[in-house]
Amino acid sequence: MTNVGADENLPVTDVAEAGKEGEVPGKKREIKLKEQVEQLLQDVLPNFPAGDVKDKYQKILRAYIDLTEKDEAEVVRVMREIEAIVVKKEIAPEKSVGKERKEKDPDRKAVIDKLQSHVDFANFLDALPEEMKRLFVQRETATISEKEKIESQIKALKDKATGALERRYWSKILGENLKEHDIVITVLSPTDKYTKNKALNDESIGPSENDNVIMKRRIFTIKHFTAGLLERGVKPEDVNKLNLDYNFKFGLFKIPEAMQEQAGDLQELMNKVCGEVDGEMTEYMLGRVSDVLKRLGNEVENLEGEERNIKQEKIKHLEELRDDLQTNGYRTNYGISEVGPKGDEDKSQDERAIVAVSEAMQAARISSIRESKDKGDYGLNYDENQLAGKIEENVRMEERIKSLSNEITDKKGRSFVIFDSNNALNIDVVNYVRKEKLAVKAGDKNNEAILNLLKKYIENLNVVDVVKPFTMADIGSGDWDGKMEANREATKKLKSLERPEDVESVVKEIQERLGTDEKDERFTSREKFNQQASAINNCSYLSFDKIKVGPELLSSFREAFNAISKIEDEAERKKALRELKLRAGDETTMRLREFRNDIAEKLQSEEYRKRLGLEPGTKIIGDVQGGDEVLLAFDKTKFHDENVLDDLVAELQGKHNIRAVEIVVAEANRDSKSEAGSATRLEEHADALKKLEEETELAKRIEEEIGSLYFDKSLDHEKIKKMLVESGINNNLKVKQDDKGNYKLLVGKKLLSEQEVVRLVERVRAESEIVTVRKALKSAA
Amino acid sequence: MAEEDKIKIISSLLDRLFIFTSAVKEDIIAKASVDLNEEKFLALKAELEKAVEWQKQLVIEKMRQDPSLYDKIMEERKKITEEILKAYEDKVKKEDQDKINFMFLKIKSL
Repeated sequence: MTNVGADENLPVTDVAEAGKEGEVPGKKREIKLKEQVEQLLQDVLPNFPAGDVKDKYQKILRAYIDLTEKDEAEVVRVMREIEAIVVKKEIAPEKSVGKERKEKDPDRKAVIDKLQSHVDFANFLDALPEEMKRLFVQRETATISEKEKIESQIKALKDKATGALERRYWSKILGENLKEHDIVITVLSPTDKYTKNKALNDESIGPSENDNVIMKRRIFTIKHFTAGLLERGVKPEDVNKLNLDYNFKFGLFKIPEAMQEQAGDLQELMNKVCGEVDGEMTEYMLGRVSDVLKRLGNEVENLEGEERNIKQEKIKHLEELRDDLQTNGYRTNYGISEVGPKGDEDKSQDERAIVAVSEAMQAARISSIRESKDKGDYGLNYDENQLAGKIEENVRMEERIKSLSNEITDKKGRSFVIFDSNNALNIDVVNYVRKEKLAVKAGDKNNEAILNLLKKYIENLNVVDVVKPFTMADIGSGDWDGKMEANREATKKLKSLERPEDVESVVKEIQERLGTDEKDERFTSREKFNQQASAINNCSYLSFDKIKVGPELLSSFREAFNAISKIEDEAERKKALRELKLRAGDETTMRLREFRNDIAEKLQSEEYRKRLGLEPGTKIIGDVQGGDEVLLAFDKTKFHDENVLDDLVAELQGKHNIRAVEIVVAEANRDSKSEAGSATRLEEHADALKKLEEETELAKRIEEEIGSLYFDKSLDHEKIKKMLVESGINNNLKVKQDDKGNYKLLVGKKLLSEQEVVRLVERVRAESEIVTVRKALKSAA
Repeated sequence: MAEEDKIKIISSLLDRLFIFTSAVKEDIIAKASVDLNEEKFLALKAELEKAVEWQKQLVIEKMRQDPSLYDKIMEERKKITEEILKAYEDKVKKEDQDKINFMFLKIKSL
């Protein structure tokens, strides 16, 4: 440690005072000086139990002491020393997972099984023309009993392909499928703290395991819905046509007008269905959570440092999930609405269908946030006043938040403005609240009240969220209708296909459709992605994730709520509510399209095609996940220059707020050579995707670290920006596998561990605070 | 020495360092609490003691350069003290007023 004030360097004034009678002035003055320093360094009001006071005083000291550049550098050096001591030996060398352990890992097996089903489907599509032709030819010379068997084989092939086609483009919802007075029922996935999709994906079980949860929920829901209607005397062949859609957020069913009398009391039916689904899901999830906890418990024993911390945090989240499931169970909600009659103000049948689906979703969401409901009460019938009530409630809450201070201070003392000077909702605050990352000090009544209001406010905004893969402009322009119609035509052709000579043309179209992503035809379907990516020997995976899509969507709902609340005319208000049901989220859908479009355009541009070594007209090997995420796979052996992906990331990040995580599987670490079997390839593919998932989590945590700097109003944001740029830290985080097989974060041009990034962020925080306080005092002076 | 006592010692040393923000200090404590073995504790304690001494010398040096610094800081400190006492007083007054209001409401409802 550099000594800054050696005693021998006394000021000249002390020398001048020397020689006074009976005194040793220099020494005396020095004693006084030291006494004063001691006093200054004592805490202010030591018995007053407020940490803020101490903070404030220490800030003043920091400002008055006015550290020189050299002093600041010394402070940073000390911080690093301390950091090095406290994290010493915690950064354990990364271990490659042993083959034996991998094989016993049930999570890994589940992921591989899921991927295998995708690859199987893609293989089925590839083989479809030959298989159909073979069966048609065999049928011509077959005996009657053989013919029957062949017919059923042909039907099975057709059903598999047509089933996949019919799930596209909301084909079962739009068109003639939902008629006036049909009833629409949605079953919404849980929205509670520990069991909602976001918590399961981000905190506890992860996206791969959550895919299994969604699949189970689908199976249980359809099973109990079917059983409930069969009990009421509905014919099995009729029940099978009632499931219109099932995605990660909701399942959608219809009860046609003609069936309604037989189906009876639908709330009674759905309460029973949801009760049974919840019972089975609770049991299923408890079993899975317990298995994963057991495995993690064993693993954590052999880990150290950061790796151990991450696993322990995961265990904590899983334990919370387990406790919540044991106490409250898994909780779905349903909503019921009816397709409006013709001659209503509606423009088209499709619009009436979309409105009914939106209404059923809103009823389910409102049911999920009801403060009190009886046990066994799982949902609501749609009522126009429910949404209007939520809008009014939000307007009141917004006023209340603003009157309370319009700020929230978390337990670390960071203050966030909620509605900015332009009256825009701070989406970072929304992001933090949604992720349950904003906590206030225990006993801080004011901030606690604001946080509770914010939670409720955000829940209410979420009521209008419907996941639809199109915008109303698509419906209006006929784009969507065209796609749907072409899809329907292709389905019809396949169903009526009977001659071997027609197979080529009909099946080719089916292969093209099912091998392509529904949202963007330039990308492969998920099934084709997994088939092709797993076949690449030297594969580079690149995942793009558009950041803060959810909070932006909520912010747009808030604007719509506020606009509607100002409409006084009853008819106009009704019209506006209807528009909201139809168009909520369209703007976000457009932005996500733009995001995907930019990726596709770049990759298909002549420049990138050449650099990536792609043939003209080839489909991008990409999995468009959800809409805000795109996962790409590249064959590295074809690259013409090795910086191509870095440039692609940089160009896209220049335009969009996206997180990029790149997994470059180094050739030296791959088992799969060209002669390797497909099972080995698929396993390696699964491992790379799993790693991608984990590293995305890491990237999110680092983003939060950086984000927290900008939230803090007391810091100098310009200084932060400058320092982050200088350090190479920004949102452009990538993960690369080094030659030894370890994955590291690529920050700027350096490969850093998470710990190193966190340390850099801390340094930025400390230095920018010093600058801020000094600036404030200078301007005050 | 028990883990708890080691953390107490580290906390009290950190408490004396104004050169670090509270967030940094909290973080050091959090990280140290994960595993503070004897070797780590002694190294950390030594580093913090050095930092405390360095900080003290730094202040002495600054006060030599600006003899009025002590008075300036004490003035600020006085202001904080007053501010805090005032806030406390207001809080107590508000609580009293709330109690009176509550009694009024009670009386009115009789």
